[in-house]
Amino acid sequence: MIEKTQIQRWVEKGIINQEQAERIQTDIIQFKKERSSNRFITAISTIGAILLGVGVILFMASNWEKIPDFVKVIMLLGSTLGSYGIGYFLKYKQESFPKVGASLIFLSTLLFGATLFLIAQMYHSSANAHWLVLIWLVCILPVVYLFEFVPVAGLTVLLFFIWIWLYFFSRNDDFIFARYISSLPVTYLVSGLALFAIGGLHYLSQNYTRIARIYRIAGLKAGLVSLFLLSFETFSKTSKYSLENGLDANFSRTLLVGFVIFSLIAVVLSLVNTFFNPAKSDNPYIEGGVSAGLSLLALIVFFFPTSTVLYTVLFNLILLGVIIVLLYEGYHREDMRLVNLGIFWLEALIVVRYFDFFWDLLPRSLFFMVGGIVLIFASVMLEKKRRKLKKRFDANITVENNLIFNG
Amino acid sequence: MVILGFVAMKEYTLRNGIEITLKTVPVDPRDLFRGDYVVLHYEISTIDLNSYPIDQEYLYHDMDYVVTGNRVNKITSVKEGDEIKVVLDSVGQNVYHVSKVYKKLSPKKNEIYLKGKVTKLNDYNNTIEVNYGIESYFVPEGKGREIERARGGDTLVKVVVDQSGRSVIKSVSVGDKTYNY
Repeated sequence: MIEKTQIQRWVEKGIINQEQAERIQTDIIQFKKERSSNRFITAISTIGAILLGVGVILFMASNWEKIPDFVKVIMLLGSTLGSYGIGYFLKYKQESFPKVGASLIFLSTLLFGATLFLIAQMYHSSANAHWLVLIWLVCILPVVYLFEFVPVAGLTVLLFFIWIWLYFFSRNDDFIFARYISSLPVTYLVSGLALFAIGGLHYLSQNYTRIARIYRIAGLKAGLVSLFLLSFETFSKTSKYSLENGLDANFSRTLLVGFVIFSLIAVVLSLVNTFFNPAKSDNPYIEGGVSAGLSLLALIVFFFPTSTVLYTVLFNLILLGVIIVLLYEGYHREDMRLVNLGIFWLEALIVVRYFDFFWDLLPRSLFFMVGGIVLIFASVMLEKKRRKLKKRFDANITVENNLIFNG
Repeated sequence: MVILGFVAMKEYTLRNGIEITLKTVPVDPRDLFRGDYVVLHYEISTIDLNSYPIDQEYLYHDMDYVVTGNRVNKITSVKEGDEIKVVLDSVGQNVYHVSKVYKKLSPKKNEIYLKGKVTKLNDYNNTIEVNYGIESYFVPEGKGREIERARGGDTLVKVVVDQSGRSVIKSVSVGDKTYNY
């Protein structure tokens, strides 16, 4: 955004006259007002759509037994199709209320899920059925691609990770769940890497750039959370008892087959992204190589567990490496979001490892005092560094703007 | 289309299937009632792989062979996640019980069977736990507690089963009271 001081400098340099400067400033004010108004409308209509959706869901989910089943089906289908139809009309046909139309289309994707679950409930289908979530996810994908809808892309990401949970880990038996819990972060790691790689492929089309970014960020964050969990012995080390009694290897076929499929998808697509570089990344070999390597490592960890700390140490080093890559990429692209992400995970890693190493070594009071001092200093330093970076990135943008006008 | 297809499938089962009655067994009372649905666990949910009459097909876990008459048949092993077909028979009673279990073989035309998935193997007593997709019964708010309180007598569930082994719950009876939601 052009600043007032910049405009004054242009007037002083004779690039523009005073009248032009005033017109530019008026234009900027008008643009800011319109943008703020648009954002406000979008926020209000989105909140309205969500509230309406929640209200409909709660109303129907109170199991109003007086309504005959076929009427319930018609009401549910009608509200879903109606919301979609009106939204499409307002946004694409009449184009009079595009923001409201978009919110209604988003609402229709929520209502679709509600319709699916409530109809399943009518026929007493299993409460944790993962396939309901999968059908919901698959059926709203066309909305993402036909209309390049970013909010619905976000919804598909959420449904994807919920489906992973229900498909792999939903059990009625708590004992079985406890046995599988250690494979939770590894499964989400390969799922996150697969999603990251799928996101990369979306850059092949100019129309799907924003969707690509959603999928890549979601995959990256899922991967980081999983790596963080795997840096703990609880998740990366198997007990000797389990190894000796073969408990670790007794996974269901569902988990085994699904895990291998996701890992292969992650490896293959990561390699495709490395060699074809649809994202036009400056470092495709780092991105793709790390993704493919991590996917293969996840496979090894899954099928060859160990009771030593080998994998724990490895994952700590890998997490540190990924954080360094994030910070490097953030500096290189002058992207504050990547830098912030890197700093956040660096702080988290330092805090938990500090607890791990020094909890038993130091007296409690000293542990907390030293920890507190270190954290305060580190926060001050990191914040100073972050502000410096932000100033530098913003200054670079100003220099670029000046170059454009001065030739 | 997807939703209509789902409704059509369930309605087909309800209209063309055979109605059978299954007996439930108590589940962990700690969490019988989750939100707006009642958890159902059937007599047929746990199958004892030792208890089958001779001359039937068997599924054994951890054993390789069974003697059937004068022939020796190799046993099909079963694992968690396997899909099986559980043939039911009322043997002249009101309630249906397990008669045979198939994995590779198909039930005969006149046999009533349910499609199920093996969820757990119990090595210590050679039994398997099976899920049929009819373990949840959705009830209006507040009604679940009523069903829970009324338990103590026999809890019977009326289920409609079609020729492909798919099933839909029709009603739940506790003692002489029937709940149909």
